[in-house]
Parts: sequence; structure tokens; C-alpha cells
Amino acid sequence: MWKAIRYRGGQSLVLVLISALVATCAAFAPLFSRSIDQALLRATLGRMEAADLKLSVLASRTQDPTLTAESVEQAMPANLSTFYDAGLAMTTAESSVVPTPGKKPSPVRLVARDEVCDHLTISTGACPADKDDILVSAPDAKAWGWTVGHRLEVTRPEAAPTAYTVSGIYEAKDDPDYWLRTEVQGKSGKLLEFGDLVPGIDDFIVAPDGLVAGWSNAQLSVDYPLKTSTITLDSLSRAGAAVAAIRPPTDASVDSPLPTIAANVDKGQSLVRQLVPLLIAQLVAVALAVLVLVAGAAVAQRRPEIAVSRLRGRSRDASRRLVMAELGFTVLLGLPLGVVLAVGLSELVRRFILPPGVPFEFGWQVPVAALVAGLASLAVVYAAARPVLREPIASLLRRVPPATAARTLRLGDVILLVLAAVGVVGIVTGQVSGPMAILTPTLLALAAGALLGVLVVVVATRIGQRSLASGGLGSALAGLAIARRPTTRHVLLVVTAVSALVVFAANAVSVADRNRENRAELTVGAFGALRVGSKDPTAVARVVDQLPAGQREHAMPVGFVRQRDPDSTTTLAARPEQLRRIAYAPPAQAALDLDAIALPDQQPLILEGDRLTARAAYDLSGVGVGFGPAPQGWVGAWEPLADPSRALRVGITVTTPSGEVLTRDIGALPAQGKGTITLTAPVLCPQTCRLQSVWVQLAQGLEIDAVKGTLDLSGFALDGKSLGIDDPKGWLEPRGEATSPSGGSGGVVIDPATGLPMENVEPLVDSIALAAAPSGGLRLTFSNTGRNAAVSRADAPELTPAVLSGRVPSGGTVEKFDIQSLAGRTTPATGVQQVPALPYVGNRGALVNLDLMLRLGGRLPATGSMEVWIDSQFPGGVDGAQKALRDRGIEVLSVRSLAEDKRLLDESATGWGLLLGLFTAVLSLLLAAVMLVVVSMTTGRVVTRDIAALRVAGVSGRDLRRAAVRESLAPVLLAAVVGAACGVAGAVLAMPLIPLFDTPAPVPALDLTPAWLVMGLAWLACVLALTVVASVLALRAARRGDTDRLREAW
Amino acid sequence: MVNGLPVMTAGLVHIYRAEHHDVAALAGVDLSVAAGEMVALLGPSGAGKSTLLTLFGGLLRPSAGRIRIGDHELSRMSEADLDSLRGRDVGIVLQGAARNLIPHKTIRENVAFAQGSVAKSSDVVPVDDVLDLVGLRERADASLTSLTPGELQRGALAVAVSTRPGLLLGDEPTSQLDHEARDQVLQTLSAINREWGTTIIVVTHDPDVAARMPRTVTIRDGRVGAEGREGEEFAVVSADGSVPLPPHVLATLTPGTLVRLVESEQGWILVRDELEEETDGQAL
Repeated sequence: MWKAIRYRGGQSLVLVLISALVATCAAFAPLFSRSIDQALLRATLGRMEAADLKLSVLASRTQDPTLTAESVEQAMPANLSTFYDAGLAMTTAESSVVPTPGKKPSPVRLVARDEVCDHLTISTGACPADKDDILVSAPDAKAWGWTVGHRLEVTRPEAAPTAYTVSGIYEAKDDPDYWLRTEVQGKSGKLLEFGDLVPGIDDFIVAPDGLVAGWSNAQLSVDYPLKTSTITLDSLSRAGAAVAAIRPPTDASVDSPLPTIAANVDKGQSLVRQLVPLLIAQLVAVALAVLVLVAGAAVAQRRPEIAVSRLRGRSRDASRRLVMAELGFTVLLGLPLGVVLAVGLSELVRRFILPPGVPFEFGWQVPVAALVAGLASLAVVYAAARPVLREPIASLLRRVPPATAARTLRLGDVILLVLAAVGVVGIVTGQVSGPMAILTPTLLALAAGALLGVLVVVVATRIGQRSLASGGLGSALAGLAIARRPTTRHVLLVVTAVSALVVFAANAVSVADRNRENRAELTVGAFGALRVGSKDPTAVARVVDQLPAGQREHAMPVGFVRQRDPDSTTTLAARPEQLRRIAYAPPAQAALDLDAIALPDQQPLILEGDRLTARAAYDLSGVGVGFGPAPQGWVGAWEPLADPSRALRVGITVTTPSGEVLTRDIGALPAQGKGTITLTAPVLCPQTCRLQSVWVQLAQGLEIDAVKGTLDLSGFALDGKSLGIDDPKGWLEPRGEATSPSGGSGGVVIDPATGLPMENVEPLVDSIALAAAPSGGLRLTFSNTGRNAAVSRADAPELTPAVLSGRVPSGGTVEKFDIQSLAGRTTPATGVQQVPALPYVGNRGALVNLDLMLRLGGRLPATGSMEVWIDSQFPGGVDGAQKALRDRGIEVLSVRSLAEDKRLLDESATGWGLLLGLFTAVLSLLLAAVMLVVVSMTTGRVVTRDIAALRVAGVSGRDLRRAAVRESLAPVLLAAVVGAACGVAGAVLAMPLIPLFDTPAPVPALDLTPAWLVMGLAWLACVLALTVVASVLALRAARRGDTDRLREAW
Repeated sequence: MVNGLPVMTAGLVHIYRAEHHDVAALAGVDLSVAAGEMVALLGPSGAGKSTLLTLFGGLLRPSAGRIRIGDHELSRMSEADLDSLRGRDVGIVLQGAARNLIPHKTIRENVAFAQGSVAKSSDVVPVDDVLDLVGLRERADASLTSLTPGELQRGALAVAVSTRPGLLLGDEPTSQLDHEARDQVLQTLSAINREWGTTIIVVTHDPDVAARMPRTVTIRDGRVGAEGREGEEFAVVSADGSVPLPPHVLATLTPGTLVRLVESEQGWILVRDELEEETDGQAL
């Protein structure tokens, strides 16, 4: 056996290697799958902080006033310690304290937590020892002058105040693994809503027994930090079961992220279980196709030995055993090598591609997979040997094996064609989806390769004959040789499949990467996004604007206001020009129409002064029962009601820098008559105001239904200084008119029978129009029933223009809907463009102009936040931006970056799975090259003999070289072209069905445009590699085809 | 001692079926070889010698006619029986020594391999005895690549006779050998025939080889054209009564020539018709 194997060492080596490759692919699949599964778990755990991973048991004393955190802890099952560290018990109670006499009470939380003093820096005093002792924070101690020994009276609902003594002053140490996101500090120095705005006070730390008796409102919790190192794929379910088995005391709840983690990992696992086998199956298919060729060649070389065996009386079965023993043993030798290679490859992936912490595991699936691969390889050898062994001895004794007819489709070819047709039809009709679609291009290519095999034989024969007739010796010889070689079909089949695989895999990897990049760009918004602590948009914008040159061009302030409903529209406020330059444009959609949200040209008018004056010329008439002239039908003397001299209020609306909207009356006019007066009033804007509008409004409580007429306003001045706003162009044209909701009559008819008013002559409307006054200034023509009728300054449109992503907010239309301003006020807006997605906010956003929001003013509400977005050119990148902002006093709360988000997306089942596709393509290319070498080895003797014969017949060396290269290259190039077409077809057909993400993208707009350049380059690399191999082998054969070869044959 | 098998053919026809035409390699061969006889099959290339040998070995099945080897009627035997026959009773030496040997085995291993089908039999010949018979004991464990052509040929003979067959068939066993090697092979054949009484039929083009065989059978145009016994050549009357003339006679009596058979004291004499003689102006 060994002698037989050694005798054909090169061939045996090739057999062993290809068998090893088959085994490698098979064994690598479970290794890789398992590694990805573990990596998914590690990545998921790695992304979460200790606080996110903890197991929390929460309880209150509402039903059991004697319940303590310790008793809750004792009720926990003991087996939790396998996966969790010891629990951290904490008792908290909400109360209030008067920080200093004369002040209103501030809310304060009392906290008793296990080992708390070990995680505090106690600058003065000592840890609370007595139940009446407390620790106060250093900022509070400084703010309120609290010192050790100070007495504080803490009040709680429905209980008598409790006096505590300050035993010490603390600062919390930065220890996230202990605090698990419990914040005892951070409130001091801030204003809190507590009935009124009151100063916030950090938590009081009390002794463990400080909250035991009487604190019926106390909240109890026990936090168990997760031992992440104990959580593996195998233990995850056991840990989940242990958590599920917890039976906490009554009224307690258990909160653990493990079920979510398990669900996420399970989802990824199910994707991996589909993706990896399908990708590997293609490689195995190519490897087996090459093995068929090699095994066929090996069996063909053993024909004389089989003949000798039969000649010496061995039966067919005995001869088969002889061949299978040798070749089967050789093939099986590849198994351990394949497993070793798979383990090595898996190690490389584990060390260099997957995140750290993924353990090496060698499950039972690996030897089973290798065994299956071995059996498949043996089956291939058996299949290759079978037809030869069935030949009669006389046929086996022939020196040149009989040529096989290659002009018809074989059973295998027909099966491939049917499978490919089913695959394509399935995709087109939607019957095939998900990872199964990955198989389509390979099936398509194999079918095309099989078909090509038949066509090429026919066409090559004709071309050869025609070329021969026309004297084209090179083409003639090449064509006829291609048609004659039994290996032509193998070459066509394998190269077509490999070319398709390379093209498809390159496209899949590129498109997936592009979409992950797109998704990361969309979710981050820009190269980097730094969320800042300031709630003052103006201040943040100012800081960004004042960054030094070289930095400020690469940064932009962005404001957000989310609503409580996560499905509602988020306001995204940014400067259009900066957004265009710094933010990433959402993929696969029309460009954002940022000009449509441009800031109005009109500059805002800032009122910096005390007293506003203006001239008012009016011509008014009142409308109402008993008011004005006698109604129609009135009998008798008519005595109208007295004209109220202050019937019509005239005022302005201003916004303060903090966003407050204030109205100021600047005068009052009679309901009827003409006249001119000077309006004057204090604006009451100590920190300046922006003039928003001028309005008129019928005063309330008058026996008058409406006032109509004109009001000319001019000579606006502040503290005597003209404001220059008399030109109507600086104001917005008011919109239309509205029927008075009060239903007041514009005129009445007196019922002759009763003498009482009977019906409205015509409905009253509220309206206001703006025009230039003849004598200069603004002319307001209006009819007012009591609504505030305003004419707004043109520095802010009445409806905020917004680019809307996703659906229109509920209750609105595209023309008018409500958004939240940066001040958290409901603000009318109009959609100037609807797009699928906006940066960061995705498909639930309204993009507005930040400067417009700043004009409207205001501080961000609790649901709002400011961010600073930077592009990739910002000096120092995200770190540089953090430093720049912190240096200017802006606290950076958190950071998002494109690289990090992209990395998180890359570290996914689909990311790694598709990367395996590329690996598959490269390995299949290697296999194709090996196949060409094997073809050269197996046909080499025949080819060189042919060449030698042709040389003797007088064919020139040049023609022979040309013929040899053409014979070798033509099938490769043809198959590569057909394969590329199959790859492209597969890319177009199958890409929409291949999962690119583990979790659905918030914006499902995928950019599946084929990556033509990548596909082209990959194809070129594939063709180049195969061309070089084929050419070198062909030239080598041509060189060796000398007359000595011919003599060998004689 | 004599364990040779007799060989008999009657009306043996073999036609090779090609893609567009059929070729009749044998067109009715009637031949009888006695047990223990040594026969050389002669004839021009394409005459059908090798085909006849192949049919004797059961490697091909005849298109028509019968072949009997010993008690075995080959045309009625199954593949398995033919395998068994080749494994025990018929040794075959193919043209080209290397084709008879498994290349990665030594001569000793090849002989042992060939004895595989009778390995459990009690009358199996020890390998060394076989090697002694062909004179290769000393070189039996050398690799095949180190053996001379003559040694290889004798090795092939050793493999073929390793089961002490009743019939040994050799296709050009001395081709491509020098005189010395050829003589050694012929001596080996004689020794096999002498020691074991094996019937030996060889195909050869070599007149010297033919001269050293007790009987020669010349195959011409798919038939037995002539026979030589102890150096004297005879025409052979076939089953249909035809007598193939030797080539040198055929050069004179061209096809279509009228002849008469005249009985004399010496037997039957072929006499050319006088009319023909006058026309051709030639004398027999």
C-alpha cells in the first residue's frame, strides 16, 4: 500500500491535498460556526457595561413593611453564585430636606447600600455608624455649609420628620462595577422641579439600619453583577434557567438582560447555521468536482494495473477492492490533515478576525463533519473507479483509453440544469428567500458550465475544422484539441463555478460592507457625534462657532428633541450648509433639499432697551347689539352703548433668549372712530428679546362682538431709537381669515314683535391683512372678534419648514404638522420634502434649521439634547473634538463614531458569515488552479505526444506554442466570462434575499447596486491567476513536446 | 508431469466493431493444439495472431465459432469462470514486459500477487521455485526499474506461470530483446514446457524464435494459412476445403488461376491447367 502510494507520490500528494481541502471545508464549518456563535456572545457581552448585565431584584415595602434588602437577598437561590457575584443590597427612600433655614424644601434621597463606604472618599468625618448618621456630598456641604455634626431634618410623606446628624462628607469614587449606574451625586447645584424650582441635593448616605424602621416608602433592590467569564454559549441557557427559576418575595420583580442576550445570540446563531453551511457547501462542491477529476485521472493511470489484476484472475470486485484500498487510503490520509488545517484556519480567524475572548472549542461536530467529508471523498473515488472497473479486460489493455463522447448532457448535467432553473424561478417568484439564495449563483454557474461543456465541444470541433480548411493552424489545432480532451468539460465546469463564486462573493462582501457603512453613517449621522451635557443650544452653537479655524469648519452643532413615544417624530435641528458638508447623506435616496429649510433673509430684531414707542393711526368701527348705529327695524329712539375707549388691545409678542414667549400690550384703542395716538409701553426684557409679532385683539368682557377697521403703525422706536421696522417687507404676510368661533353677529335684525335681536346678518370673521400705510409704516386691516390677530416678523416663518422622513406625524398633513421646537414647544411645521431617512433620526425625523430654532430660542427639554458632529478632517478626530469641547467647558456625555458603529455591525453573524464567502471564493480559486495543474499532469503525456507528432509532421514551434496556449486558455477564458455573467446574474437576483444584518435596519432602504468595480477587479484577479497558471502549464507542455516523447510512444 | 491443456478452435470468427465499419480479424480459424505442445503463431501484422491469442485467454469473446481449452468451452463461460480460468489454468504474457507487472512491486511481489487467486490451494508453487524456473531468484527483490529488459521479460513469464497453468499464452515474448535475452526467454519457455508440461502458444514475428519452436502456425487473412512442423511447412486444408497457398506459390498461382488436383503415388499434386499455361506463357 505505502509502496503504491509512494510510487505515484505527486499524484498521491495532490489527492491527499484535495481530500484534505474537502475535509478542511467540512470541519471548518462547525468550527467557524461555533466561533462566530461565541464571538456573537462575547461581542454582545462586551458591548454592555456591568450595569446593563446585572440581575436586579426590586421590591418595595408597600405590602410588607418589615421587608429588608437582606431578606430579599436571602430568598435568592444559591445556584445564582455560579453566574453572578454576591448581591449588592440597597435601600433607598425619597424624602425632602430644608437645606438651610428660609429655603424651600428640596427633594433628597436616602441611600443605604452594601459596602458603600468602601466606594466613597470621605474627606471629613466617618462612615455612618448610627442609624441617625448620614453622609452628605462635598458639593452640598460646600453649598449649604454643612459640616460634621450638623443636624438635618428629613421629611417623608405621612410621617414625622426625622433628624439626622452629618457624620461625614463624601465624594463617590468612580467605580462603575460597584455603582452599577446608581448615581448618588450629580444633583447638587441644579434646579429641580419640586412644586417649585428648588436646588437639587445629592443623596444622603445612611447606615445600613438607617432605613429599616418606619420607612414604608423605601425601595429595596439587590443587584447581582454578572460573571461574564462564566457565560458561554453552553452556560447561557443554564444561566437563563437559573434566572427564570428565581421566585422573589411578593411584590418583588426580577430584571435580567439574559433573556434578551440569549434571544439576540440565538438569532445570530440561526443565521450562522444557515449562512455557513451554504457558503461552505459551495466550496465543498467545487472541491469535490476537482476531486472527481483527480480521482478519475488517478484511476485512469491505474488501468494497466487493473488489467494485470484481471489478467491474473482477480474478479471485478477484487480489482475494485484493490483500487479502493490504495486510492481510498490515500484520500483518507487527507482527513487528519484537513482537520488540522481547519483547526489552524479557525485559530487564525479566532485570533485575527473575531473579537478577543472567543474560546477554542473542538466539538463532536468537527470529526463528524470530517468523517462525512471522508465518506464523500471515498464516494467520489468509488464513482471514478466504477466505470473503469466495469470495462472489459481487452479495453483496459488498450494503451490509449477510449475517448468518451462529450457531445451530450449527462444525468448530472441535467440535474444541475433543473436545480438552477428551480433556483432562479424560485427567486423570481419569491419562493426562495434568505440564505438559500446564496446557492443560486453557484447552481447557475454549474448548470451553465455543464451546458457550456457540450457547446464548446461542438463549436470547438467546427472552429477547428474550419480553421484547418482556411490554414489557421494554431486555431485549428487548439479547437480540435479542446474538442478531443475529456478534461475540457471539467475545466469548463469548475472554472465557470469558481468565476461565478468569486464575482458573486466579491459583490456580496462589498455590498454588505457598503450597507453596513451606510447604516453606520445613518445611525451616527457623521464621522463622529459627541453628545454634550448642555441643554442650551445657543451656548453649544456659540462654542462650536468659536472653535479655532481648522476645527470649526469640521464641526457642527445639532439639536434633537425626541418625544416620549419612541415612534413619534424627532426634531433634528442643524444648519443646512454644515449638514451638507459634515453629515453623511442617507443612502439610496434623493439628496436632501436643504435650500428649502434655509434661514429667512430677514434678520431678527433684538429688543435691547426698556420702552417701546410707535405711532398708531386708526379707523375703527365696532360691531354688536346695542352698539353703533341703530339696527335695521329698530323702532324708537336709539341710544347706543358707550364706546369703550380701550376696546382693542395692541401688543407685541417677544421671545426671550431662554425661549419663553411673552406678550406685551403696547396700547389700547377705542372700538370705534378715527384717530392717532402714540403707543408706548415697557418691553420688560432685561436679557433682551426678539420681536416676534405685532398683534391686535378685541378686549375680553365687552358688550361688543367685533372691531373692524385699519390700524397704521409707524415710527417703531426703542428708548427713542428707531427700530427701522416700518417697511412691510420685513414682516410676513398674514394668512387668510377665519370665521369667528364665538358666533358673534356682524349685524343684527330686530324682531318687530319682540323688539329683540333676531339673527345675524352675516357671520363674523377674524381676519387681518398687512399693507404699506399711505403715510408710511404698516397698515393692518382687520376684523377681530377677540382672537389674537398677529403680523409676524419675517425672520421666522409662521410654519417651520422641515424635511420630513418617514410618515407624517399623526394628526397632521404634509402641509402642516406639529413638531417639537428645541424649547420643547409644539410648533407648526410644513414639510418641504419627504425622504425615507434623515441622518441619525432615521425614518422618524423632521429636519429643521438650527439657526431658526435658535431664533425662536429656548432651552432643551428633558427629552432634548445637543450634539456636536464632526467630519473626518477634525484635527485629532473624535478624541480631538472631545478635548476641544471639554477645554471650552462643554461636558461630553457620550460619543458615537462611524468606526465604532461600523465595527459593531461588522461584528455580527452576517458580517462574519459573508466574509466567509470571500474566503470561500479565494479557496475555490486555489482549487481551480490546482485543477489546472492536475489536468496538465493527467493529460500531459498525451498532449506532449500530440505536440511531438505535430512537430515531426512539420508544424512550426510557434504554431505549436500558440496552439498549446490557446487550447489551454480558451476554455478557461470562456468559462471565466460565462461564470462572471452567472455571478452578476446571481448578484442581481439573489442579493435582495441575502440577510445583510442580524437585526432589521431601522431604515430598510438598502443600497444593493452591484459593486461593478469590485466585481470587475475580483474577476480580473481570478482570470489573471488562472490565465497565468494555464499559460505556464501550456508552454511547459509545448516545450516538452519534442521528438523524444514520440519515441516513447513507439 | 504433463498438466498441459489442449486447445481447439473450430470456425472461429472475430469481428471488431468500429464506429463506421466492421473489421473481421479472424475469418474461421480451425486449429488444434495438443496438450504440452509448443506452438508459435506467425503471420504478418494485422493477420489476427494477437486476436487469436486474446481469444484463447478469454479476454475477448469470439463473434462465432468455438474455443475449447482443456474441458472448458470458453464461449459458454461466465466472466467469473473466465477470471478463475485465467487465475489458475491460463497464463498470459502481454507484449511489453512492463504491461505484465505491477510497477511498484518487485518480481517476487508480482509473483505472489499473481498467485493470489490460488494462494489457499495446496498445490501452489512456492514463489522461489517459480523464480528459480525463470532464473530470477537473485533479482527477485530488486525494483523493476533496476532490471534489464530480459529480466523484466522473464519476470513477466514468472508472473504468468506462477500458478503453474496448463496453458501459457505469450504475445511477442522476445520482442525488443537482444539475442542473449531472447535466448534466455526461449530457454525459460522450454524449461516451463519441459518441467511442467505446460502447453505454450506464442505470437512472434521473429523467424529465429519460430525456428526454435516445434510447431508453427501461420495466420493469414484471419485464417490458418500454413503450419510448420520440425522445420517443414505445410498448407492446411480448412473446414470448407480451401487450402491457403504459401505467399511464394501465390505469387505464381495468382488468384483466378485454374489448377487441378492429381492423385499420384506421392499423394495429391496440384497441377496448373494447360490453357492457363499457354495464355500466361509460364510454367509451374
